[in-house]
Amino acid sequence: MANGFVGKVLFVDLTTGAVSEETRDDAYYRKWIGGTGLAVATILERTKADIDPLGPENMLAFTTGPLTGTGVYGGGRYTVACKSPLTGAWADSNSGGTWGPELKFAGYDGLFVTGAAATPVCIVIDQGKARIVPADDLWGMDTYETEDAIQEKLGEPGSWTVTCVGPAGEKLSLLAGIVNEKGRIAARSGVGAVMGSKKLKAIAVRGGKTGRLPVADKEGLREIQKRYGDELKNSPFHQGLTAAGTGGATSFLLSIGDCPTDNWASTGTDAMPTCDNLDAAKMDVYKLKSYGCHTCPVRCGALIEIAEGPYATDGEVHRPEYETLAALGPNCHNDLVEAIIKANEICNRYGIDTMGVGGSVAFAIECFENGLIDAGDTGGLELKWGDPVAMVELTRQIGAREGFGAILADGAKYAADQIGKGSEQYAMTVAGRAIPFHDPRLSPAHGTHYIADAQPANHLGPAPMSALEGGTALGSDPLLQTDGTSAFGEWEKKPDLYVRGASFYQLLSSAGLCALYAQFYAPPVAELIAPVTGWDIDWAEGLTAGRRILTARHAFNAREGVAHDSFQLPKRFLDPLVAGPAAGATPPPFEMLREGYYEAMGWDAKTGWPTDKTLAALGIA
Amino acid sequence: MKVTVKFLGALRDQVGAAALPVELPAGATYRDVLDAITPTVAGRLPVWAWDPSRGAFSRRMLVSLNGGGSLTDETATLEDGDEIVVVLPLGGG
Ligand code: SF4
Repeated sequence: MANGFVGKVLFVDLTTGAVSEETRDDAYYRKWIGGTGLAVATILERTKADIDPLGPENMLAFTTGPLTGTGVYGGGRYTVACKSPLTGAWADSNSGGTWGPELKFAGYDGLFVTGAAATPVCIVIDQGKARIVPADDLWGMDTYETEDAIQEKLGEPGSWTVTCVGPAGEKLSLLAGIVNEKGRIAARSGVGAVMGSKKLKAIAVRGGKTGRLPVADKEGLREIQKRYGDELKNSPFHQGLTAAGTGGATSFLLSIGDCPTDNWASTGTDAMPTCDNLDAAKMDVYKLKSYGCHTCPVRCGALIEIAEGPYATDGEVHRPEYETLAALGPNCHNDLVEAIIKANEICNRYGIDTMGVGGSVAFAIECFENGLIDAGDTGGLELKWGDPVAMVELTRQIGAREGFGAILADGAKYAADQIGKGSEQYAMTVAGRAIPFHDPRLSPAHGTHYIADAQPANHLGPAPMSALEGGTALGSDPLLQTDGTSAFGEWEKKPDLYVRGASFYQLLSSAGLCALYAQFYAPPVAELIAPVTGWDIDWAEGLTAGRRILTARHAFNAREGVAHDSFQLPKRFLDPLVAGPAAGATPPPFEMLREGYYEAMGWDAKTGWPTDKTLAALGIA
Repeated sequence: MKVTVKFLGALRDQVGAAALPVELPAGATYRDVLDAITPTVAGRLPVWAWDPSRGAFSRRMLVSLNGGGSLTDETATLEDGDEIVVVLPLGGG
């Protein structure tokens, strides 16, 4: 067994019912790290090109990294990956809580599901033994009900950790995600629809009495973890997230032009002066307790409850995060935080991506306001900016895939295909994936990443690129240094910074660390991997591994014929921002930056497809 | 003694310089630095970055000393060669 890993992965074919395990050795993990790396290596090797993402041949991967479950701070994450039914391209989505570590404690570094069951099933992994059990009784339940029912059904309630789909995944909504612990969600790219298409309702794991994974150098880990913990504790990132979660400053992000209003038509405080009603402090009155993922001292989450009133929650629910607040708040011109808390609960129960739902709702409102649809189309629902009642009802319909929500349940791009009449101009997506609620015009790294990454409109990956671009080093190693660039110029200097930043992020995420850690701070990832695994890994090797994983994701897209020059930001982003530091400025030349980044990566400058030389150099078959 | 105030990301473009060197007498405080840079930055940084009523960076900016924790105490004494870094927080989940 490799230190930091179990050394085993599980394959389940739901068509035949075959369950088999395979071993993975140290050399394999050193090449692919884990998480997204483990997923992309396996999916490239074991699936064919051109398969239907919602067909039985698609492989749904659940993977962990070497830091998952080892006690390393922030090592509580797991990755879900597959071919995306939303974009047709590569998909990897990430979630926290305790499910990822528990999968490892239960005996596996990763689980790969293919096939499709004839009737609903659950996969149960109990202390190294896996089985498939019928789940007809769970089909139709929301994610909260599913979690509770499985705990009862499998016995010893509370001993299981469950990830599952809700009705949105069952009904193959392309916005559906996979939910663990009633509110942690691998939300994006339609991974929940893939799980639903396999009639796989849930995966319950139990590690029993096993605790942490073996590490190679306990003393070395303790030393670096001490430094890491001190840096984390002292960083404003930690303090801000602990106090208020990611949503602590929605009104501030609006004021600087980062957060949009009205389906990206505007931004700035003047566009919605009441936005401070949405700041996380306004939710403190409903807060029951703080919440954190496995071994995370930051604890950026909170459990909250609205006891009464029109937006009363059904018990304890998770506090909305920034993306949710922005998506269902200013983006729909809504300033009622209680309505967002309720809509967030609905999304978590139905198992659906709040960002995609916010994008769909704002799209529908803009179509309605401009006369492309009317109450006859919406089943009598009058849609207008700033109507929380309609926003919550439409969210419910999208989750349940009923009424007008059925049209919106696959996201704004597919809704526009059905509505026609030029409505595609209001679909704020890249290749169907809703634009994250950080304006690309404010950060060239973000905008470039939205159209350059294998997974379009991806918002957590660009942070280290943005840090290097801004002038923040990612550590003390010479490879992590930067002189910075002008945010809105010096374009030729950026591709090299983007390559190193993107590779840094990929290493961090594949190792199993929380992506939020990379937003305002640069964790010592390679320094943590070394004592856990016993590898003499340095940053040169770590960044190469990150680049290998990024390249393999692009090799997947090349295999599927997804040319990245088809990834475009909507036309609205060609206009200058109206507020903040980029107000009035010509938006960055994103396509030129993408070409520079691709060339620096050793990929074709237009399509983003890795060259044979690059594939060979990185050992990708 | 010399202290440098560095501006990262969009703030660098707003101020028009990546760094402002400040000459101060020994024993100077963070408040002294803020007073010294006020004539330069007050007209260039908008209110979301610079709070004119306090004559200080807005509480939303991330201000750190020598790469360490956040710098908020205006009575903190600085030393020759200290570097104050100001970042506009962007990104996040
Ligand atoms: S920072 Fe938040 S999301 Fe990340 S691991 Fe910690 S609690 Fe979970």
